[in-house]
Amino acid sequence: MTARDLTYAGFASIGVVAVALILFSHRANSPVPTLSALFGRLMRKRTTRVALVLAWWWIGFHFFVR
Amino acid sequence: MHRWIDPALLILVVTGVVHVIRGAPVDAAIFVGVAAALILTGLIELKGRLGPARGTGELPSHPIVVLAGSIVFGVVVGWPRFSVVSETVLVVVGLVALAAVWRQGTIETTATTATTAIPPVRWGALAWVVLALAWCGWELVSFVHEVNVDDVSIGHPTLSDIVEPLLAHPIVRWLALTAWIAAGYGLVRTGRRAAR
Repeated sequence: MTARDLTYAGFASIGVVAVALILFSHRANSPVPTLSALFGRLMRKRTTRVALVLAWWWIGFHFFVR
Repeated sequence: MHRWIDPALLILVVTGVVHVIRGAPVDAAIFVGVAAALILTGLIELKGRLGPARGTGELPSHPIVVLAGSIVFGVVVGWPRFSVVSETVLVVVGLVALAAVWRQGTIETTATTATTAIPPVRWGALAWVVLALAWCGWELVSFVHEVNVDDVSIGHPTLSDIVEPLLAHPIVRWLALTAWIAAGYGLVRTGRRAAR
């Protein structure tokens, strides 16, 4: 396995875990909150709200414009 | 901890420093500038010079409308890659999104609201934190290794190196733009609801 393969495997693993967490969080009585619930709680503060929206925007600007 | 020195502000400043290290001064200025503007807003708010919060109204949420709007946005803006039009549109979208969540203040958690309206953050939320840290950590490791080799094809590509060739395909770019604008709309809508 090359270093490049290892890097791909790392990102793929993180993606798989993310999908698994999304599915698991939507189960009844799941101890893991859904992303919507988590963001809803975090975004009660202006600083967190703005930081999350800025992070989302920067990702788009980085990939689609640069 | 001081009222305005909170984790989100620290993350914005640290992100700005990381952008300086990776040689992206414009990105650094954006993150540090937003952090400075947030501190300024807090100071103005403390002195009572900020008017009542506006723009807390509910945004449309009909799935068909949101999906149709996102698809149109993805195709129209993503049609030419790296054009002045797409760059301008994305800048305007960012400014509108930030403005849409900026004016609402911070909802203070009181004993009453903490036990009724606001669900507690469960320990399971740590799973998301660990995932986010793993993603950032792996990206950082890839970036550090990438700069040590001349040919990225034999080293550790960052997520940008992996995704950018995919976005050269129009359909992938349209799908990605559609998903991005829909996610942003959902994020802004969630933020506005959370601040009410």
